[in-house]
Amino acid sequence: MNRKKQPIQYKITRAILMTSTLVLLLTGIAYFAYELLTFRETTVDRMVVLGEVISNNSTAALAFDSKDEAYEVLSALRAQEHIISAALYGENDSLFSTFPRNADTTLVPAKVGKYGYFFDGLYLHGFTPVILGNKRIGSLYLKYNLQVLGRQFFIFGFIVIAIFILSLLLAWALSSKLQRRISSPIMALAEVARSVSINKDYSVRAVKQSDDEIGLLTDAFNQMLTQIQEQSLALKESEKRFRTIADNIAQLAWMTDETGSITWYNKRWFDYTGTTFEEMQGWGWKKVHHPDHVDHVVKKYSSALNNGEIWEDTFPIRSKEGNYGWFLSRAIPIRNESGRILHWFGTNTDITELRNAEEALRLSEEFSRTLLESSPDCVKALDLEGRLLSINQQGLRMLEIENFDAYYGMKMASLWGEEYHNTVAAAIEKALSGRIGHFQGVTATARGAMKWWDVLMAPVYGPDDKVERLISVSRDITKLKELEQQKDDFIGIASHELKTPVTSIKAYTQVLQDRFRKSDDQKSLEMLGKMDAQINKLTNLITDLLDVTKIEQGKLQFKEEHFDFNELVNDVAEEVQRTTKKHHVVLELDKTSDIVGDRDRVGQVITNLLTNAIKYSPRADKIVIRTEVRQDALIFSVQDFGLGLSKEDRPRVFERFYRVGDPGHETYPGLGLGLFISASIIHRQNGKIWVESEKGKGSTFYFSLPLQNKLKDLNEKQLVE
Amino acid sequence: MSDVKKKILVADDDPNILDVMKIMLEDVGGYEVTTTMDGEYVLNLKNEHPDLILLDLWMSGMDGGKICKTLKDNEQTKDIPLIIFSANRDVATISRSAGADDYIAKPFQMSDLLEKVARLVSR
Repeated sequence: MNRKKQPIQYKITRAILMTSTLVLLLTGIAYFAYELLTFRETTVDRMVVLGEVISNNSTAALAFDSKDEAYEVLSALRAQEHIISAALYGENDSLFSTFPRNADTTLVPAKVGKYGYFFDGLYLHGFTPVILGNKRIGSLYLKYNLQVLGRQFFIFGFIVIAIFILSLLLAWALSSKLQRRISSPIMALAEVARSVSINKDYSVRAVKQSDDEIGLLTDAFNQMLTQIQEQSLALKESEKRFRTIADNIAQLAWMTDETGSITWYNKRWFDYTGTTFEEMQGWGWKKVHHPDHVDHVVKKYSSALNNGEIWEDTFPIRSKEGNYGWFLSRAIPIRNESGRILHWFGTNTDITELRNAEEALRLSEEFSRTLLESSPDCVKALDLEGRLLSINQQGLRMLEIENFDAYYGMKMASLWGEEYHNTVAAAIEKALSGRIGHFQGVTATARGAMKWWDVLMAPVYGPDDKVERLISVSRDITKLKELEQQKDDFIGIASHELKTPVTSIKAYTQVLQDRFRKSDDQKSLEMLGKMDAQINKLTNLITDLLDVTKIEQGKLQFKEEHFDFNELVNDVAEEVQRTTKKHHVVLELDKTSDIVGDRDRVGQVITNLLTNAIKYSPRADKIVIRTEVRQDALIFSVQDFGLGLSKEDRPRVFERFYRVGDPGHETYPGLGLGLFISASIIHRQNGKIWVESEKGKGSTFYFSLPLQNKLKDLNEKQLVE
Repeated sequence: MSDVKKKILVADDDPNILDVMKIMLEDVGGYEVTTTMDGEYVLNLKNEHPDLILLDLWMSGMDGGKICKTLKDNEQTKDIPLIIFSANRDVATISRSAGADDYIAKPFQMSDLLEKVARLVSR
């Protein structure tokens, strides 16, 4: 076991024991050394004293040269067990007596040596002079065996060791007890620390056992735990918040370790992919990537990981339903303070709808552009003030504009002559009000070519349903106008050419009538009268054709004159009466004043209505004409008692070329233009025309004209919806 | 009625119309009638001024309206009564703007023609 890892109580015990041992050892050595030194000194002193005593006692024996006495004196040394030998030397230093008796030279030296006592190996020996009065009469030798001393020391050493061991035992016992008082709070602290570190339970607290430094340590430790607990709580809270946020954001989110290997996905990832973390962790996510894209994604991702750069990519991810959605993905490295990457945090944002919308928008834009560019018309985008924003390529060609930049922001009206400015403004106004403006006109192109245009002006709505722009679609109708002109010219020529022979026929007929009148040939006159009537019909047909053409082009000309309406009715009635013998035209006229209008045209309408009434009531004999003044209008009506109109026919009789079909009955001649022309004439004079009718009972045709009439401006450009 | 017949010039580009109008105006009306199909002739009337001119609007090569206007703008000819007669439906408007004294739409009623001629000639 590594010493550093030993528990603290061992360390304390060992420290105490080592300290005790050292103290005991040093004490023992000191004592021993002292003992040794004092022993030698006292032993030498004792030897000197003993020598003095023995030599004093031997003076008599030496003085009297009594060897027995000398021995007796020496043998007293028998009590001194450490004295192993002794000798007395005479005056001439010759050996006189020994102890033990007859001791050899190993025990006593043969001659007297230097006085005093000296250590020699295991022995202490030496000589003392024997003095009588002031005269040396001999010498004493004593030999002391130090082996006895060694035994003494052995016993001493044994005692010391015994004490030493006893002391250590005592020290150990004492230290074990003492160290517990120090180590147990530390141990308890350590135990708490270990439990905290193992269980991550920061709520436990160490129990304070004393008020000393350990107590302070315990307090500090507990305080630290409190702080850690608070921080850990805050961290947990923060992490919980993070998870809550991460699980509830619209994005798929994930985290990786520093190598880019996935360690966490948010709930949305699993909800979307229908996978588990076990399948996904590390690089398992490749499973839900599209096989056509995954290699590229991995390559780009790895490159970002290696460079520590923010990663961004767009790719499809498979949903749990099996289809792929498109995601914009980003990941950022999260670094520690020293800049080392710890994690990566990434998100995948679903952009499928955005992509679809973008795709739809692209398609729609492409569609619009194709539509625009393949359009045979000139299409202009205008702002709300009617300024040009763009013109399609075809439009630029049609207008013979080479560089649109010079026209950008210009008012559209400036492409037109002064006389059209109000017309253009009216069309714009109409488009701004949410309807479609329309006009036709002629203007010059950039290179001065005159062109006719049919212009539609439409609003373009923004997301808030407000008009954001205007679109003007202009169709080049120059060709059409030319054709129309050709048709006009042709019809003009045709009607002239048709009328010319009719004119001469009619004239010849009248000359003939004059002649037969003079010769009173009534039979011929009657035939010529019928002929004249037929010529008139032919003339009317030709006139009608010309009128219809003019009505269609809005070119029907009107005079503006005052005339007496009842007088006109009388004239026409009289004229028509002449053509029929069967029908009697009854007039019920209210008193009317002059009105303003085209007398001939109104007469034409009355004639038409009257002849129709006769034509469609073959079995009746009465036609009633009424005039009536109602408020500010004059009402004219023609009533017949003939065939009448069906419900279906009634609203359609004023249509061009419409003829009442009457299967099983006679057919009626005519081009079906009369009522159409009549209606046009009445409308142009601000009047109204209508019919009341019942099948089998007859019809009443009405028209009304305002008393304060004013012709509609013929030059007014008609704006139609 | 004076012994000297009134002189009427009829200008039209259709010979049949000229023929029948001559018959009408001479036999029925009792006038002396000169006819022409040439617009230039009408414009270049010398000393022999007619008492009335009947002018078709659509003379070959020339516009009757313009001929009328020229005559009416000329001091020497402006007093000659002039009637425009035409198959054009808008003859009334055109005649008025050209300064004609009256107009007749083709085809016409003989009585209408004689009445208008008589009224203007005796003025």
